[in-house]
Amino acid sequence: MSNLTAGKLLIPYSRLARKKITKFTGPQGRIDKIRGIISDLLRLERIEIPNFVGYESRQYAERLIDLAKKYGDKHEGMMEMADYWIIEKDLIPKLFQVIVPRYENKLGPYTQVFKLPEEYPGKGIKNICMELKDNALPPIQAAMSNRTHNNSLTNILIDAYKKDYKFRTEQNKFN
Amino acid sequence: MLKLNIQSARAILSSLTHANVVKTGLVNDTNLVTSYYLTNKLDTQSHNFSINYQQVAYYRRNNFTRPFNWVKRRGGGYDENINTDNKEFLNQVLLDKYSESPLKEAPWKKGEYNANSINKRLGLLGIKLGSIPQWTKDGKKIHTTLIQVLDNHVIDYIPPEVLIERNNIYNSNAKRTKNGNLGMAIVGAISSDPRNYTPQYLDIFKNAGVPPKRKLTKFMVSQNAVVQPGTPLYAAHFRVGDYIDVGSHTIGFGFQGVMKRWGFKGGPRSHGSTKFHRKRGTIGSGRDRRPIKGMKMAGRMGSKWRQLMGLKIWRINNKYNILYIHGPVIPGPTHSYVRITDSCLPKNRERFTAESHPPFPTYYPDQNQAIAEEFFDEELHKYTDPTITFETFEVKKITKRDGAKIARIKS
Amino acid sequence: MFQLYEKIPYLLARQPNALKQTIQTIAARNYTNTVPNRILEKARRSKLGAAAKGPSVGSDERPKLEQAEYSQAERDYKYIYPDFLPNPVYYFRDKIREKLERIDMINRRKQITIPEFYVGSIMAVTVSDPYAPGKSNRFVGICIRRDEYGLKHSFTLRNVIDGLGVEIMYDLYNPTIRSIEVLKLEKRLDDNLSYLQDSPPEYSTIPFDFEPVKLLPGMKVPVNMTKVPLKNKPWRHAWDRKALRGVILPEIKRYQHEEYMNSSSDFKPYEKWDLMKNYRETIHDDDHREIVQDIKKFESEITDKQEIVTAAKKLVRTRHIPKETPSNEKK
Repeated sequence: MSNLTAGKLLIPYSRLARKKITKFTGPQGRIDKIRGIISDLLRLERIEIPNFVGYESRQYAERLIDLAKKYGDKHEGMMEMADYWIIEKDLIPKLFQVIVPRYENKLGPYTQVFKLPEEYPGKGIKNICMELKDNALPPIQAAMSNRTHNNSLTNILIDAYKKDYKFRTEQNKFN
Repeated sequence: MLKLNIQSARAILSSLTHANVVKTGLVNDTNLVTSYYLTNKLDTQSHNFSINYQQVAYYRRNNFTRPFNWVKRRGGGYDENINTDNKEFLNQVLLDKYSESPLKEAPWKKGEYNANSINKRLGLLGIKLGSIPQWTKDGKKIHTTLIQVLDNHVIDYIPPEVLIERNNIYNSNAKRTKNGNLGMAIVGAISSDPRNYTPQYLDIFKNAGVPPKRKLTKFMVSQNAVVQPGTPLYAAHFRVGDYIDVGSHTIGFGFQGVMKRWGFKGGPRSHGSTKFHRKRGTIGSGRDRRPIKGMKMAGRMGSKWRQLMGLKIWRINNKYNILYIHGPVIPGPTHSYVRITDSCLPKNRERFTAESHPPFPTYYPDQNQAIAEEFFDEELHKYTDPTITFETFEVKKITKRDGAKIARIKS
Repeated sequence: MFQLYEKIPYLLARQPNALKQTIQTIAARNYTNTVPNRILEKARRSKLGAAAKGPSVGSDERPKLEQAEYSQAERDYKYIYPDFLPNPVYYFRDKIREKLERIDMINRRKQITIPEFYVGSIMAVTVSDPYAPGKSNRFVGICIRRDEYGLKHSFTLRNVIDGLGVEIMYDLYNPTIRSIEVLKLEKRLDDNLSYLQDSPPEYSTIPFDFEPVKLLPGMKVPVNMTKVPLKNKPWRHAWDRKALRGVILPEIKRYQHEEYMNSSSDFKPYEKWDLMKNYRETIHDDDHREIVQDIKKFESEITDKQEIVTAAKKLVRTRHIPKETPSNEKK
């Protein structure tokens, strides 16, 4: 179904980060927190959350969409799974009727993450922006993608080297 | 006064890397040092070369100490906003650069096996892949570990004349070089992108003409087994049925208690014991007023250099360059670096003769003649063979007459 | 300004601690002095080394990513050939080792026919044994469990002979195994029947002249619904703490109490819904793709050569009890 093999979903996050989630509430509390974030993500399609919670809940969101694509809304076990992970029940039809058809012909990760700047002076918390791909909101990366660095010093130097290199290789051919 | 001069000269030499020594031609300046020994008639064997006179016996090897020729390895790798066209161009330049034959000098003379002197070949730098079972033709089960020899090249050779002047705290140089008979060969594994390394580190590979390697090791090599820098090494460097030594770092477990680290019994679970479930007993009696050194206590467990000796090679895969080595307990986790050499045990050395010995100095692939994809040991069962059956044979009953005959002969 | 003054010492005090912790965790892990798996596979395919041009370095090219759509028969390979599955713990895996293992396994499967069997089915195995009369040994029993992955795969048979329980563990790819017969193909309610050790002996006694039961073609594998009563304690393991379906526990008041059952270490209700835990402990379809291709190729080869295989098997069976004694040279 997707290109997410066992190695690929091992998104790097430290054990300390995992401890932070389970510090007071235990393993059940960790899952409750992730449940809340997934339903937030499905409703708003773009959220800002701390680094360590975001990376971990991202895996669960990916896997849930992947399974929804695979089994559809007529599978009994799948519906139980969706019922557990999505707390606000009006979002369950949105998962099967809006989000699954959106990624029907798509492989790979359905979410993307942008790092946000660290607040200074602050507590040193690293936040990220997580969103579902192909949403209707104005894109984050538009400003970045239109920007070109052709006139930067390194690019100009490499361009000059390219011309020189081609000239030399042609000269070597004749010799 | 002379001594001071020598020490200062040696300090200068030791501070330089080998790459610098070759470039600037400082090798000739070592005459200054050697002439001193000639004039004073001191044997290199008897003299202690170390400057450091401190006691070394209880030095903690767990700490990382930088060797004298240490250079910073990783560097660069910044995002410089290079265009996609330029990125592709730079990749193409790298491929063009390293696709040429790395042997720029004229080929060196290949040494030959000499039955009367030391024959010490260089080894390989492999990667451990895991263990699988194999069976012999007798039906016995063997556990073998797979070690892949990935992208190995000879990178440098340092002759004994240069090596003898370098300072080493732990071993005397005379002992290391066997009185100037052994040089040092450097072998690297897994070539990688040179843009992620520092220019100091790249200097090491300039002579060999290969891309920088992720990992380097050194092997002490006799004079007739020298291999030119830049030659690739393969798994066929060893023969099937020969014995090897394997060394690597063991799995690290961090700071562990006495029960896990040394296998102590600990205290009782109940019966009134308080705060004494996983502890050890006394450290020692009061006479010496100190614990004896080497006492088994809690501490860092694992991640130490360990070597296994005399392991047999059962099978070699030439397509993927994989060695099947005897035993499931080769140190280290999966995908750890493993250092392989010919076994230094005398039993292994006695097996070699002038006619039958492993490829010397290494295996050089012949383009006209391709080798077989797999080599098997004679005792090993191939999976393409039919099932193993043991044939029956009758034991002759000893009749009275035969028994009498035997008795008569014995008497 | 006041804020800044307050927080800088806080940060300074915090930073070395955080560094210390990260270093400790890295040192504590067993990944030191290793190559990461992703970098290793990249290096196997890279063209950078001049040795990549040489005769024998590197692996095959990376397969193209496609949407895998399996038929039901191909999905069943997981259950028919569980020995072909790799170890689900990612740390123990290596692609080339798995490939070489599979080649060996298929080569062995071409020599003898290894039938489809499950935990709970009744089987007979004959092994060539140098110390047995007739140089072979036949054992009949229930398959209790199947362990390990790849060439290490093994299964154990259990039987009670003269009132004594006997269990024999066979390596599936041991070349001394002459034949594996399935006398009765069926499944049980559990994947591991080790609890038969603590049950009355009539549940694991099978006569050695057990007549094979044939299934009709096109039939599904039947499930045996029998529930086994356990003896009183002491037991080998705490069977009451495990979620077993095919067991009748002895009547004690404690077992009906919910708190006792929930206090066990195996009782983790939150793990039922943990998507990622389930994902990491099982083999995904994309990892299964290469294996499916290999098995399909093997099965197509077997059907072509089935006659040859059966002929070869007959030859082996005639060697079973040799009439004429060969010479004593091979002693």
